[in-house]
Amino acid sequence: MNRENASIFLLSVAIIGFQLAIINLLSYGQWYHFAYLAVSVAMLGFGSSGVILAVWPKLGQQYASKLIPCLPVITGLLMLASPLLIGIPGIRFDTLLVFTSKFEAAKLLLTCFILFLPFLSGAMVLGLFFIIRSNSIPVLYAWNLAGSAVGGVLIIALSRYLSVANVASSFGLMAIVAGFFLAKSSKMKLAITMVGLAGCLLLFFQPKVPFKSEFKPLSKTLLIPDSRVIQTASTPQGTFEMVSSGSLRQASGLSLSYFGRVPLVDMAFLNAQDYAAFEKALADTAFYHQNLFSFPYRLFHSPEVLMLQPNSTFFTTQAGLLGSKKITMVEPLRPVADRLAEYPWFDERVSVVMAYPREYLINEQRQWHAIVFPSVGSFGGAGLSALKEEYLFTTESLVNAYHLLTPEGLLVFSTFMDNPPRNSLKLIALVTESARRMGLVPSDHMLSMRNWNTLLVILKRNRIEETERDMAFNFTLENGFDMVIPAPLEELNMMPDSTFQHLANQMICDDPSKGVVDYPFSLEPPTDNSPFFSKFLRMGKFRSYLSWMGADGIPFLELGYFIVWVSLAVCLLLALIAIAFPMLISVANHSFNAPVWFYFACLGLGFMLVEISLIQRTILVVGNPIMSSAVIISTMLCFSAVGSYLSSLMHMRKGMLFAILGIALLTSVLIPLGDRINLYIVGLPIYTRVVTLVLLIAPLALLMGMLFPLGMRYLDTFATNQIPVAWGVNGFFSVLAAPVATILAVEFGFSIAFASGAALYMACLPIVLLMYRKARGQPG
Amino acid sequence: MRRLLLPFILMIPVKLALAQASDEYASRRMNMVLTQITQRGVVHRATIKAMETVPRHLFVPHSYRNSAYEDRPLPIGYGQTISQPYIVAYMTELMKPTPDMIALEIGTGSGYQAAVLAEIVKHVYTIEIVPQLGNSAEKTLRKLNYSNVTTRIADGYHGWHEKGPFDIIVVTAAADHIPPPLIEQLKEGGRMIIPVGSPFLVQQLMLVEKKGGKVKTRSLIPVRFVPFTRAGE
Repeated sequence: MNRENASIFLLSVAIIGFQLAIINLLSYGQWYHFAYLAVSVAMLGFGSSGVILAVWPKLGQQYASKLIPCLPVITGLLMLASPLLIGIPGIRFDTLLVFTSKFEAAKLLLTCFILFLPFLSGAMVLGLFFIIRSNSIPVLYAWNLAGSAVGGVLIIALSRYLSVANVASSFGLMAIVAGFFLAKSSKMKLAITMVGLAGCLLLFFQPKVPFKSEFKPLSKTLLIPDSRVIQTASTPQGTFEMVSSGSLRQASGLSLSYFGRVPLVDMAFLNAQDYAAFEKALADTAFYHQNLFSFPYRLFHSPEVLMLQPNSTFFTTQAGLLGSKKITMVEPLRPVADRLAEYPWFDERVSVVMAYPREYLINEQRQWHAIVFPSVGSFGGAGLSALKEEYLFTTESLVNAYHLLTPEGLLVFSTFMDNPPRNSLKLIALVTESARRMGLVPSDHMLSMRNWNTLLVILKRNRIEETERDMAFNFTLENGFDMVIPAPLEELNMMPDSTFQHLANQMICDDPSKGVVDYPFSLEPPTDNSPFFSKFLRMGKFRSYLSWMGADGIPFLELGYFIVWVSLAVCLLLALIAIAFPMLISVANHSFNAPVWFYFACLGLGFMLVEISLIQRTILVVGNPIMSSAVIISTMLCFSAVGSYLSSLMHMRKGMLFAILGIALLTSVLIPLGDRINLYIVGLPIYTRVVTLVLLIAPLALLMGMLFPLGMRYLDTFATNQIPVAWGVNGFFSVLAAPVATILAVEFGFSIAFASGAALYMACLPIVLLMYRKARGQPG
Repeated sequence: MRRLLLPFILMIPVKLALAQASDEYASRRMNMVLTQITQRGVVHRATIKAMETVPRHLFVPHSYRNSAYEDRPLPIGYGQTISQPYIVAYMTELMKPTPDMIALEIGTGSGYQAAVLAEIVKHVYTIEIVPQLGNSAEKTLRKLNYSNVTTRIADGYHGWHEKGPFDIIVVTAAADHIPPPLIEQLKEGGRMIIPVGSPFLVQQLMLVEKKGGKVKTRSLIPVRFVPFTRAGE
């Protein structure tokens, strides 16, 4: 490996690592959906660098040798500084305030700009190398993509040991080292060493915990005078923090006839979102009895209970006190699993398994009397995180769980009662739909009851006996609760209107579609193809929402849905400013070559659509978004590089047709078999899962990687003046692709988003034919 | 002499501007009551009068003063908001306040709800857990001469046992359960308003009534106490 290749490799590691670290940073400080904004900002950096080099060719021709050693150092410094800068008061934005203040929108744009600079500068280095060493582009490209692949893996390792802000900055140091390799004089090397040392110092100034929105639950909890963080840990899933306070309590489902003590809790937070509560002491037994969640235990003697990611120790304590013989808790977050394992109030009946609940359900063989699902929305899958993938709450997941039940076993679900009813009705819709899929008559197998704010839904494997229904009825009377299924005779906890009960009745009757269709919120049961439990808004019903909530009230419904649209608007604006306008101004005198523009637009949008829908889909397989991003991005880049290299050995036109037809063939296999493949892979050990994923995706990535360089070769031969335009068009659509992919996935499912990406590649087939027809007669 | 007079002369336009601004806020306030409150069905006379009287713009941060009378909640810092005017009026009307009543408020926030209640009832006790918010609200209330409001920085979960029982309890922080001490401190026949629901952005307003020793609940309308403080639980 020569010095140039080594520096390209290191810089590529830094760029991709920084991109993923920024996703982590935004997930912590803001919300998970800004992940897609980070991807777009990175794409914008790459697109703009291409535009700059195309518009000002002198940079590549005359100044490359001077710029190349300096730019990696600048990139490194920008990477070191930007996490600090975006947290400075006056610059930092707050998601919720974006909807109430124009300044916040400006701050959001400024944040995007700050994050864009390191990508621009880093991508400039790569672009300059491609220009000055154009004869060895395949080799450079290979090092570039190999570095990107390593960066994707390295982020996982670093996240275990460094804080979220330090991970982002540490990639800056790597970029500075890349600059060191390129320095020619010892003077310059010394200067870069000094800069590197200064960068190390800057790492010490990084706050251990970065800025977070004042609206995040952790921010608000820490405002309570006696609350303090007692444990912090960096995990692949995000930043874990444990908060102790003398004022935190949790008791959903509690009867209003309980007048005893409610125990204090310590609260675990993941990425500043509330995650799990740990009771500091046990309450009196009545506290565990006079609670909605105690009902399932009335149906058993000594049950064996499986608790999936319980969001409070309350549930396990309750299960133990109410006579459970064996309780297994499945918890994916290590610090929480460790705490649960050491929790002083659990006895030998309780065990903790560290695994993702869905993964556990797929791989588990044993049978259980009760499988208790976490409360819907308890992990932030609503509001701002409305578009978070919830693979545990899909029809396929419920079918998995159902098959692990003993004949008398039951599945237990809960959620908050909301108004207008959304979570509550969707939970009932999900359970009824899953029951139907298993050939059950929902009304024969379901029981549901509620208090004033919590809904409990039970699905029993066997038919529910009349005596069990009587028990449920008496239980609700004793505690001041109301039945939901079967319908109550009289309500103790009155709802504003009859909508909830009316629609719940509709859902369990034979024709559930009646009435539900007219409801302004989407109650469609989530599936693995569209695992967005909290996606309630319907584009066609906006007028209903407007008349109901008012224009400024709409964002408060399911804000996560709007964040993606805001991201799209921001990306569009940035792409127009940084790519489209400069490109159009500089190439105004060039002719409009529609096929070429369409070809590169399709590639820009198509690649990202495929990549992002694969990332979302793979969360089920590898467990969390950061891991799936790392695996997919690394694989796609690595094998696209191979494809790009191979394309240089191919006949131009035949190569294009081969790649397009190959993509068509592969996607026609992957789309229908995707679900089965995923479910098969998830049962394998994690390393085998990753390897299998890589092997599955590699051929597709390889073919996709061929079309861009082949297109560039075509332009080089037939339409040289279109190269900058093509670069710009490609960059422009790559920037928009991240939010577009999310919107497509949410509205139509992952399969459609993925198929749309593949279809864009296939659309290149007639375009290629058209391009060649147009080029016929021209020299080349 | 000229030197002595100059400050007074200069103050005239400032004072005129302030008077004009004050008039402008009063006119906005009247408009708010008309378009956002009475037209939406709030009919309780004392509530309407209180909403006409309390200068809401003095309870919001300076940067949001121009939006103080708009039909929406506004951020007041520390992750808290001042509720939409209609919600304040709606909650006040629901409690059926009369001049002989004693009220307890959990979650002082900006102090606006306490001021509205103080216009109607005998005394308002209000508790805020975030010291910065509590102190700021106390300052505003004192400046506006609300002598029948007593503020306290504490965990509202336990209520204010020494001052209870209360005819009215208004909780402005969403919770996942109704604190048993609050139910205990509610007078027989008393009414409690509490936003409940998921710890997300939209909660629903709940009316809790204590009659014959029994507690009954009624869900009302969705509200946006954006976002909530867990400590209110």
